[in-house]
Amino acid sequence: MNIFTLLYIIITSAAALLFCIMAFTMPHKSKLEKNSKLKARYIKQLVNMLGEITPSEQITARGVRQRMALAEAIYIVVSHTYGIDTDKLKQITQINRLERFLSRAITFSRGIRRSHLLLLMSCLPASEEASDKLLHNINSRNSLVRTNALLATLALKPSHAIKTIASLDFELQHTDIARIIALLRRGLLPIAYEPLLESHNRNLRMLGIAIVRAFGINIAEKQLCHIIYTESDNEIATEALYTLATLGRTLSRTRIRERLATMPPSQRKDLCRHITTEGYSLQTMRSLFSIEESCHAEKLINSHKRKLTKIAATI
Amino acid sequence: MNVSLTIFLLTLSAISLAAARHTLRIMQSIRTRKELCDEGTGCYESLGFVGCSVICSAVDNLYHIEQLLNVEYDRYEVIIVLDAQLHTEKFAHIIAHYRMIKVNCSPSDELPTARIRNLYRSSSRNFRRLVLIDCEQRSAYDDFDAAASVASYKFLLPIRSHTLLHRHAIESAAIILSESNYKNIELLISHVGEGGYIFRRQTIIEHGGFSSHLIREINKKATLDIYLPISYTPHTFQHIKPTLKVAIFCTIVTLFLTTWITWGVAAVAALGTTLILICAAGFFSARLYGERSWSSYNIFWFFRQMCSFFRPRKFIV
Repeated sequence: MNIFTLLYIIITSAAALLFCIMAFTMPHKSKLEKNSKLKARYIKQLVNMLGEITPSEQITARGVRQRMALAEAIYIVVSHTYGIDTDKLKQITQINRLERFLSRAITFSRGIRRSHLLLLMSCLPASEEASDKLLHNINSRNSLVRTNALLATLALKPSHAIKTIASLDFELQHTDIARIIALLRRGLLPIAYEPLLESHNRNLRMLGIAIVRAFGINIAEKQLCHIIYTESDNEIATEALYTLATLGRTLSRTRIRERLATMPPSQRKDLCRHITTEGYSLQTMRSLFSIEESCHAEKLINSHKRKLTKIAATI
Repeated sequence: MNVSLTIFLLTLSAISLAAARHTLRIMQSIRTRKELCDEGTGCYESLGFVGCSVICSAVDNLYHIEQLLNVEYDRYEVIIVLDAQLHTEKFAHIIAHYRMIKVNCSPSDELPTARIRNLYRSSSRNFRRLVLIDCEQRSAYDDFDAAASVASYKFLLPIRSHTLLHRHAIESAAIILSESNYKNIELLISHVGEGGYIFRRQTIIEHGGFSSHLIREINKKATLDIYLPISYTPHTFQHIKPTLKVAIFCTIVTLFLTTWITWGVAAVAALGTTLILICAAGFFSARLYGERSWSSYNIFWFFRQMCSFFRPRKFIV
């Protein structure tokens, strides 16, 4: 047996062994159960304390495992509640030194682990100084780290939210915007939609449109129409058009028709189907689209209707 | 060292590296999905207005329909195609269970191959996402065409009988398809487990409907390969055709015998460790996407996905 064959056998055997060990140790049931029990205990204590169901007991976490479980418990509680008492959470964070613990853990981790820790940080009532330490993560090459760092920065420094988003040198994806909206829903980020819609920054405009859609702000119709008429970026204009249709506002306007005429046929067809499923009448469809396009829309509309009268010949 | 043995060892090394690379890609994708979908549950609504219609052929089991309807993403619907004349009882059972009513349906101009007898929608608000089509049973491709002609959303995910959806499959597909880099994607192919395809509806119409050579006709640049599981069947190795099992066994035995006769015991050991490595990688990736037990069926599919590079680009249902 020559040396290369032997070397190959050793390397492949080691790799196979490694995969087997990883497969068997991955779920590590007992450890997972222990962690989830600990987390469940902390969640119960936090809910009792925040809801003042029973006289609150001191929540303490010592060591890495307990602190991590407490940080995750806070994340779960904060992400499932609205208008939470941050003073009580701040007290727990300070007593257990969670801010320092998470900041250090973020520094010494990378990749998905770092992004998870940043997500936990976004729910912690930490000091504004902590957000400065996270700023360099916003420019990370890993998109997940980038987004979670942005969420943490926005949550820790809500007053600088517009400035932070405006200074981003990458385009926010729909997923990122959905997660920022989740922060807004939790009441952690007070942003008005009007300055966002009027801004010339792409990210701010997209966020503004998403806010209008998520919260069903009908009074933003004028601003949306303005974006559709004047916006040079086709993606933003299309997003505004879809949002206007989702809100159920009037679409048969001359300038909207003009904008639609500039869109590629495939995009027009997609929009036609969207408008149809949103429940617009055939008359509106005919005023916006060509005869062929509105013919497809008519069939789709009819497929949601039940025939109530029978033709005489079939009776 | 013998030149032929060197080539043999280099080939084995390439196979081992491909297995390791495939596993690492799956690991990375699944960890990202876990972080995005598990932590962001409920916050993904109408991502970039991407919608997905699941089109099903030969799905008649209520449990299966419930599983398909159990998706949190909002822009989603399930279209079931069944022949009411062949499966009278099952059809009536579905209609009664979901309180479905017959609605108007005109022949499609977009897909002339779609011949729909009747179209049903649920009168119950809970099952608004469900659409039932009564259509003459010819082939799965014709069933998919019929479903595509009434689909409301931009993307279509074809599903066969016994095929179930992985948890967060639709959300993760929507996350990917909503990204601005992938705006012009026409086909999304999953290379994990039993795989899966998500087609753009417009592409299907342009190519005249579903067929076995559909994937070959789609531009490769408009195709996106992902390493996330989309669908699976609750099958085991026993469900694989006996002829295929015999073929696999014969190939392995022939390979070992040829190696032993040509290069000796050392080469056989190298081949053996390579096969063990592939099995271990398959086992590990199966555990990653939620399979709890050792399954030779998953390893078989892992090996098939690895070899997909050599197989013709065909859409086989």
